[in-house]
Amino acid sequence: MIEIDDVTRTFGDVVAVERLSLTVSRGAIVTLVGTSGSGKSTLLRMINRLIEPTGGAIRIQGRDISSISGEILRRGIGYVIQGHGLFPHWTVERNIGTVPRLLDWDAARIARRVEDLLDLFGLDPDVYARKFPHQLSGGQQQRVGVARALAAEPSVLLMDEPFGALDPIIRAKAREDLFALQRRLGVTVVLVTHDMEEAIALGDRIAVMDRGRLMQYATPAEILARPAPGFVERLVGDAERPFRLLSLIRVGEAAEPGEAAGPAVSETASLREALSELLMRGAMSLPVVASDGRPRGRVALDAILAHARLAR
Amino acid sequence: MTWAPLIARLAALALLLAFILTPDAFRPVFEPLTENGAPAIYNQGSLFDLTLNHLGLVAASSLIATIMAVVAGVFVTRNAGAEFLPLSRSVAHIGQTFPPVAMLALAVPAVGFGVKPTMIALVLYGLLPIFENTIAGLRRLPESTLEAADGMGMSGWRRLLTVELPLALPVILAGVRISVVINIGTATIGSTVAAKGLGEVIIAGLNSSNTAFVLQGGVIVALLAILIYDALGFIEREAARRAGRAFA
Repeated sequence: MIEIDDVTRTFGDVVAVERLSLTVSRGAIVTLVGTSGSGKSTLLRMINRLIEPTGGAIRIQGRDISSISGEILRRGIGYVIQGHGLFPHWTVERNIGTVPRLLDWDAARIARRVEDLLDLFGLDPDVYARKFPHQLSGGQQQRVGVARALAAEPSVLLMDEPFGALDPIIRAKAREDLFALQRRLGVTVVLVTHDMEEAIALGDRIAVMDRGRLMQYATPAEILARPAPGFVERLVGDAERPFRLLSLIRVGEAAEPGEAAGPAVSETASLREALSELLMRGAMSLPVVASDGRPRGRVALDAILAHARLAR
Repeated sequence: MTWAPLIARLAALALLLAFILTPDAFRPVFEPLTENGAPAIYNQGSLFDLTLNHLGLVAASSLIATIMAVVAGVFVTRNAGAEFLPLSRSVAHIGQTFPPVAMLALAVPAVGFGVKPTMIALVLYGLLPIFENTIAGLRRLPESTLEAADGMGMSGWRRLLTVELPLALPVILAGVRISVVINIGTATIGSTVAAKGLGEVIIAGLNSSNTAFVLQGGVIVALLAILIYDALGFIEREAARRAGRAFA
């Protein structure tokens, strides 16, 4: 658990973060979203003491981080930055082993850990361990960057625009992979992004920041349904809001008993996908199946519209 | 891959070695340059020994200049040393603009004749390219790489030694290369204050109006400069390759 308690940071006369408090619960993904200059990256960097707060306190697992040396603290927190920041003169293997080496793990343990991580990220150790970063694709570099951050099994992972350098198709995949991985490892993630879509797709909770202040801190559904007036409202975007809300709701939640014609849609798909399917087919309802293939009734256009209306 | 460059290098090296080891074999080449039966080949000492002395002088002064310049370059690129940057830059620039001959004239009264004043002049003259390249190499490192190093929890020393210097090495080596080559030529003036080196051959030729001597000294110095420049260039490219084509 990360507690940010009344934290302020000024640079000269400029207030980057102003008296901000929020709590990230253990094992959750919190996305910090805002425009550039909103102070979101400054806030992130205060969590691993790359930047020191000018006021307030930050506690991780109840412990005030100012009582731990910055270097020791950072070895226990994963850190992923935009454009991966891999060391260009080191192999993939050595890059991933950076923090374990700083922690003086023995060589055999580091080698085992590196191999496990490469497997976890779908990179064959025999092929990739000895490659250099410039020999990898953008998506692979990004995965190695995340693997490096997770190498010493941190309980907290900080990510600053981790997908910023990727093209849109790879980005969507990288996002899904991160989400699945986080659910598997249970690591607490704080992720900075300027992309509301990304914040909604990944965040258990979203912290919207503007000019150093926290404008709203809520679940994606709450933010979409009841955005704080002003900045958050504008950021959420009127035209996109119903679609974004639908993308958060599974088909299973809107399914009703009954029959419908045509190919079935999975109950784990989002209502947004179901709506798009309905529009393409020109149909009023779709059959729904569970993930094991059993029929689960149907999802009707009316039901989807009803869920989208909650957004208002 | 073509063999021509390699053959040219080996030929230059063979020519150099043949000349400093068996200068007499080249007597017919230099005979037409002499007048009144003056000796065609330098006869006041072994060319081989003078070459070794010359190289020793350059190697020692370049080593000292490299250590001083890299330490200073690292220092002024740290937060603590940033305010010394303008001052140290001025010192290095003065060292480069002050003529080495004048430096010798000033150094001799202080430390006497011989190797010492020559070393002082060569070290000061060689500082600037290495110092400037050390600063440039350290400053052009990608911000994200340095931030990653900090974010992983590296100490400042560890970051410097395992990340910054290896990545800046090709640029620093380029500075060393320039400095060494300048000093191979400049070291000849050391002979005016009695430091042993190839300058002796040239000065002896000037004193006795013997063009053959001047040419011999000049050719050896030039071949040394070309071959060493080339070899250092190879090391530099190798270092760049190891740095992972970070800036490609």
